[in-house]
Amino acid sequence: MMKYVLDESKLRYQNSEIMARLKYILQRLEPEILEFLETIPYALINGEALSITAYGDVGYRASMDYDFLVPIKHSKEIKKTFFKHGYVEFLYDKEGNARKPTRKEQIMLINANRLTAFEKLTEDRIKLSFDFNTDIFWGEYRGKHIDIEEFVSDAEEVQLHGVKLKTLTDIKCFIQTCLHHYQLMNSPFHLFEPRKIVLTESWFQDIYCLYKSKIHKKTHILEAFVNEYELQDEFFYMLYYTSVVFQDKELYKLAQIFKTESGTEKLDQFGLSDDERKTWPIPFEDRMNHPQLFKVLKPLMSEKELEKIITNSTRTTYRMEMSTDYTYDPYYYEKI
Amino acid sequence: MLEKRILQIIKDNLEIKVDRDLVPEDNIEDLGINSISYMDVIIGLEDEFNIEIDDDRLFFPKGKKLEYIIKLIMDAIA
Repeated sequence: MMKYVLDESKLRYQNSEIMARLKYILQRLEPEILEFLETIPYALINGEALSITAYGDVGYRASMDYDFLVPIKHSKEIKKTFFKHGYVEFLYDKEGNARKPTRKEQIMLINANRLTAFEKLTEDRIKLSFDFNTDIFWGEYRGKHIDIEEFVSDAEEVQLHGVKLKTLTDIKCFIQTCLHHYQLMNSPFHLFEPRKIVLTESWFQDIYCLYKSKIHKKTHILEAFVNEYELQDEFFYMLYYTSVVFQDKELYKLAQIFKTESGTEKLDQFGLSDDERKTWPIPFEDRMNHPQLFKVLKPLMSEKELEKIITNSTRTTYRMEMSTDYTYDPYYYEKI
Repeated sequence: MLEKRILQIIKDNLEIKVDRDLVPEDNIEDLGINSISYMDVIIGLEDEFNIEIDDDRLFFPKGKKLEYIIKLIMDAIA
């Protein structure tokens, strides 16, 4: 196995500030919205849901919002319900100004398997933000389709900050997290983000903690899923590098089950489709925790690819800011 | 008649020049439509017919023919 020296300062630890913020957000989710959620198939994913499943408690993941996984056919009811309770669809431009997404941006997001985030500010200017994902794959994915309604059908009840919600089963949480993190680590758009380091220990730690606490005795279920959906390359990538980062021989052995020729090649490549895939000019250990990966990648990208990244960046990067000092106008929709 | 209008609007929103009338059997990608330019085609059609396509039908129809878009619009108008 390739050697790797783990940087423990990059690992996740329980953070009381995060816990307090996320508790505040969730406890302000209107009872009517919670009642509505009970009428549709959904699962809470990432953030606090993943924190509980992987780490056994809340507050381990530095999330700023709550993410839901829902079948897209319920998007109309979701929008109607959130709008009714004063939430709005916002995107932020480079100056941090909030604006209504254009129709083109809405369609772009839908093709990236997401709805626009629903947000509102509380009286004490804390941003409540709820994101909806409509698939566990990325927009460029052209493989076997997964029926999200079926995928979330066995979601389990979870008590989060005193609120009853539903989240994925252990094995589905592992599958969704592996695919989510694979997407982040291979998407040129995310790799170009100046303020977000996706190639770092903490992302592999999510996979490793899930594996050690929940999955290591259920690997036959994982194997069946990966084979059915032909996701060997994606899971080889995630399990192989997680085993390297944590120098875990048992996990390394599991990764080998999914090893293929194309999967081995992809270990040193990035990109989410054959069209955009490129070979890294630096080895894995140098990519990890690199503060300015975009400088490494820029010479490899065509003008058209750079333009696409800049367009996407305008669309979403600034939405991720937690600060509340952006222009916020609660009457925005009444004025337009 | 409606089909002809839809095909004309699609043609008007193409990024490449096509010196003939479009037909429902044309492959979408053969006309230079990709996942990005598809949005312009859809927005052009939504504006023309004052409709909004449902979210679950807005995905880029890879490998399909123009008849797919024609049905999409006719369903939304209906």
